[in-house]
Amino acid sequence: MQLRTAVVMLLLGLPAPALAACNVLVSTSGVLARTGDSTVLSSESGVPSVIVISGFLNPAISLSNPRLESWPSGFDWTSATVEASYSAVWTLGSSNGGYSSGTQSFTAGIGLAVTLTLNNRVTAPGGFRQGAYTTKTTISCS
Amino acid sequence: MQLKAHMCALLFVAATGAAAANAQSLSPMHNSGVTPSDIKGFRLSVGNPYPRQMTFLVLPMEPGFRVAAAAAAVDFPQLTLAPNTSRQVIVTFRILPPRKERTIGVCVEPKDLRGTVLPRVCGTYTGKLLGAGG
Repeated sequence: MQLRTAVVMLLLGLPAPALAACNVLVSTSGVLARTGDSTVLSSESGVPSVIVISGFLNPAISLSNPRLESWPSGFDWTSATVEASYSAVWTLGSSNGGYSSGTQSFTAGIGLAVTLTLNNRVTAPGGFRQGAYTTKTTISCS
Repeated sequence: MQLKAHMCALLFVAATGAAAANAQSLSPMHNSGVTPSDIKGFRLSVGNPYPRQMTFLVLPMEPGFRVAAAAAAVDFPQLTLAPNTSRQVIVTFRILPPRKERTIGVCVEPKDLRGTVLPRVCGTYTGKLLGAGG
């Protein structure tokens, strides 16, 4: 076992090709707010999330299906639909995705940074109980 | 409006560029190599680009980054890093017979980050048995 570990360590010392890294920074965390429609909460009425992704070559960026993370007791979360939309811009390009409850992804071109603006929307046909609602979207750079 | 936002981002990157060079969240993001045994290891650098101390989880995953990888481990699966610092971790995984090579993913994500977004950086790493060709 010790020999194996030593071999692994030896191989780790071999030169590796210079490959890219990736930073994902949440610049602004979003806030959901009420809209004119009592069955919809949206960050477009509140504060969108802004994420800055940098330090890479042609990264693949994916947005997981958004999920409801917290809600007040008594709220029927099973009837709620959570969706996300995004707008991404980088030096020589951009990408946009409309509201979707599924995973969305895009590949950015070479650039110093990708600025990603993310909006979340929760729709509940029965309306919302008073309290705090939070959503979560996983954004991956790979 | 979009251009303005992007220019702000560029300025932000320019302002933090010196620190960012040493503060990648995950580097390299892809690598491959051979191994004489059925275990392959890679040394990765995990960094904290945030302006405060953060704890990160380093998670071996299957290549789709959805499922935890079996027979894979990280020497420091949880790291607490000062702002703009980085630390090396070693991920090891078995290449189980009859396979001659295996690719795993590694994802780094903040632990207990509050907010609406969970930022994650994921890379893929391929180990090949020595003499297996390719």
